[in-house]
Amino acid sequence: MSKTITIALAGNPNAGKTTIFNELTGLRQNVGNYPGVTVEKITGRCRHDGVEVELIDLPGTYGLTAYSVEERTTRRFLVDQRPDVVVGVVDASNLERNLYLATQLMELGEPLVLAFNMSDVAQSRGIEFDLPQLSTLLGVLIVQTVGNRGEGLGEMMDAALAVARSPQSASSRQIKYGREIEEEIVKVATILDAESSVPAGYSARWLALKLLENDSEVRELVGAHEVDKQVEASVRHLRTIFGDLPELVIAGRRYAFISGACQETVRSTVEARHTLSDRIDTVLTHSLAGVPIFLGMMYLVFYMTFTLGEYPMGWLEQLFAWTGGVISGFWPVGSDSILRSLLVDGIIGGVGGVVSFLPNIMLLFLGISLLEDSGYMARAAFLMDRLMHHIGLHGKSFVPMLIGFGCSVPAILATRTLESRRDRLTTMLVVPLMSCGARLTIYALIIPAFFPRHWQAPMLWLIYLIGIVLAVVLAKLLRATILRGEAPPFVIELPLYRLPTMRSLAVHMWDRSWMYLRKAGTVILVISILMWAMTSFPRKTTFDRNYEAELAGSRAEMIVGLDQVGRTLGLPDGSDSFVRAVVPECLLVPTTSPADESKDDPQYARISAFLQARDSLAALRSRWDASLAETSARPGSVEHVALEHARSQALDRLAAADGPAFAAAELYLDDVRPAYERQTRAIGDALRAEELAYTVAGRIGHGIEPAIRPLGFDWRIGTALIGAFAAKEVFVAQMGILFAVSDDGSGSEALRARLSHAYSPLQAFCLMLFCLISAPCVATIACTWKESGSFKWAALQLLGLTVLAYVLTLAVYQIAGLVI
Amino acid sequence: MIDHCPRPLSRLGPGQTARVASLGGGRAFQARLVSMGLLVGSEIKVIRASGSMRGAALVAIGPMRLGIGRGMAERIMVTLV
Repeated sequence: MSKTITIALAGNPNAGKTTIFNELTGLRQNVGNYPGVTVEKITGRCRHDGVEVELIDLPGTYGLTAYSVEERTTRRFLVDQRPDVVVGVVDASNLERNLYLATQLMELGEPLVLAFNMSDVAQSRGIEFDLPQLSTLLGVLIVQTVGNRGEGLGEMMDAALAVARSPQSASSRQIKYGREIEEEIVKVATILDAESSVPAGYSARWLALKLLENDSEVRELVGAHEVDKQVEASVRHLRTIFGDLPELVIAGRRYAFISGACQETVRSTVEARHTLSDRIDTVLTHSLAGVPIFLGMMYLVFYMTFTLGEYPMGWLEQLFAWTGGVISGFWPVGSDSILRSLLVDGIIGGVGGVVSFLPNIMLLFLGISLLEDSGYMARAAFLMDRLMHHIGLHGKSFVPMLIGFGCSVPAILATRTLESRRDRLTTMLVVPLMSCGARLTIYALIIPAFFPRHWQAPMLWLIYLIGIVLAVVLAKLLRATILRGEAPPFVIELPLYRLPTMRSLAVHMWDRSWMYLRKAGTVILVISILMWAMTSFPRKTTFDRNYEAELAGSRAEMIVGLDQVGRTLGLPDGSDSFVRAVVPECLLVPTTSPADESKDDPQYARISAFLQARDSLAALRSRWDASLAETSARPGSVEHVALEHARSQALDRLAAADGPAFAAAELYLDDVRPAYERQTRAIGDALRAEELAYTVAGRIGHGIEPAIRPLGFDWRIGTALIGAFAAKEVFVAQMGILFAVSDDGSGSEALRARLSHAYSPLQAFCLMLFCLISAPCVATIACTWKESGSFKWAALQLLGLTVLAYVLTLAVYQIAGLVI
Repeated sequence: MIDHCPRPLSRLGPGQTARVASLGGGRAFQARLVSMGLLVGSEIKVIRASGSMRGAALVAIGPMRLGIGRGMAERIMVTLV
């Protein structure tokens, strides 16, 4: 048997489908799974008993009606794709409700196997099953499984493959709906057959039943006038008999069928209670304490993301710096090679910059997966219902927003769980205000560069909070204007609290991180190369200023200064051996120790005295800086005074040892050398600025600079922001490239240090604010377009958010500029 | 004496048990409640009342725990048992 067998997993939310799926497929999934919600069907492969199996994990649904998008997708998939077997994953500890979906799967005529999952939980609650009997009553094979321990999965696959081999053996029982309903079903089905309006793949009975259940999709599918007339008459007839909507009566009969089957076969020896979960809920869903606890938990997630991520991030940064150094080593010092620049500045600077944030991304997703897998996410939606109600949404809209902290794309897909279209659109439009993982990389780059350590976590939290507040305000605005309407009804299931398994956490984390890495290796690599080219070409060959002459001038000035140092040291005028000894280190040219060269010089003793004094003074100063940083003592405090005293004593000792050498060292370290460095750096910056301004990126950046200058942004940020529209991570990559290109290759200064030289903390904050609000990435816009079914909404999202970002950042920069 | 008059679920206090007399809201929403296991005749125990702060109510139906929005809880009629 060489044919691939397709097995679809269907079941209620939280029944453990995804856990079983992950256990069976491991990491061999074709499509990445987003933590939290299975929003699209996910496929994976595994082998069982020598048979190649394609597994499909369907979104969790409570029924197969046409009321929500996921139920429709699930139903459409089952009808159109006809998987060889459907495994109905059932939470054995909540059997009757879970079997409701199973009865609908049976009615659809799918070859069915039921997996009674979480049977360990059911057992611990004293629930006993007579499986052979229940299996006979329902007419389906039943296996017991414990998904998170992988128990019973082999039997489940055996059963599924057996059913796949002989589908007719798995003819499940038909539910009888009672004489009155059955009569109407037959009437409608007869007309369906007569009108030959039964589409392929459906049975007349099923269609008739769905029509009586007021299923809009099936009505459209059939679309026959005669049938509609009969359905209308039947519905009217049933309403008068039962005094209730036919779909509710039909649902009631399904439940009656289930409880009839369970009566004989399921015994509960203990009263159904789960005290521990309820006890946790008395605290976590408390009407006063609940929301603060939730905010605290979110804070904890961000704190963890930052503090734990710092070390591995540092290692990765070092690794890339080292790799860049090794590659640079293949070329002679100061080489102008384009290939070197492409490899080191373009690819390592760009992609490496993005990849080094992988630990942060992994930790963020670990946090979100923890909240989701433990069952807390549903509580957050429950708690937030009250607040969300005020903005005209309900608690369920909160789940997509939380997922938005990971990535906007699955968040927009997750709005499918919302029944009302106005709700969906509102949520979709504001979801990008939830800072996604890609924007975290921007914050993670900027925050440590501009804010002291104890301000870093609060700063990150503040940025996230601003996003949330803006989303709330915007949603309220939308609900009051273009998406006006009554707040929709809210109901959500709160699953039992569970201890998440390491495996499922690992799978979630890995999936997401892999997507991130893949993005870095593809989209971001291409954009990095493109950006590098844009910042490197066209090359300028003739310059506006004569930089060589300017450099020579400042060098001559330095030599004059060194003569002055020599005189201070007590050397005779015109002695050039001193200058010869010191100049190389000022020019940053590696040489042998200057002291060695001048050993036979008569002034050797003085020169080495100077070098010694200089080193001692430099060491003393750096020690002083280090000890001040360590104690973080304030000026005027006892510690500070003590340190200052110790320092001046040490300085006095140094001066007393050799006065002239000490004075010369001071002059050299404080005046001559810094002045030279300042001048050469200014000349270098001007040269590079001229070079960059000549390139494509420079021209674009300078072109838009007048528009973004009022926000505190320069042309470099401008070019990076344009790239960030493709993917937010690109911003980091591009800043890396821009600042590496504008570096002569000698500095080992990290990007952060360069940024903190170039911008003020206010500018940095404005930058984060702008990135938070402005145009979400292309993928988000495309997803909004697809999910809303109209380009109008995607355009509104793009333009609305960008205008909002501009206005708000402008206000913050200008007003804060006045205050500071 | 137990009062058998139907009343909205939102008026029940924590710990009270009641039986669902009728559902409210749109047809689609009623069908959703039924597929989630809340139907006429279900026995409901209130764990957290929706109270005066317009929060959602937390109820138990058998082994399930459902959060029901205030607006909805006002439209689900129950009788005390």
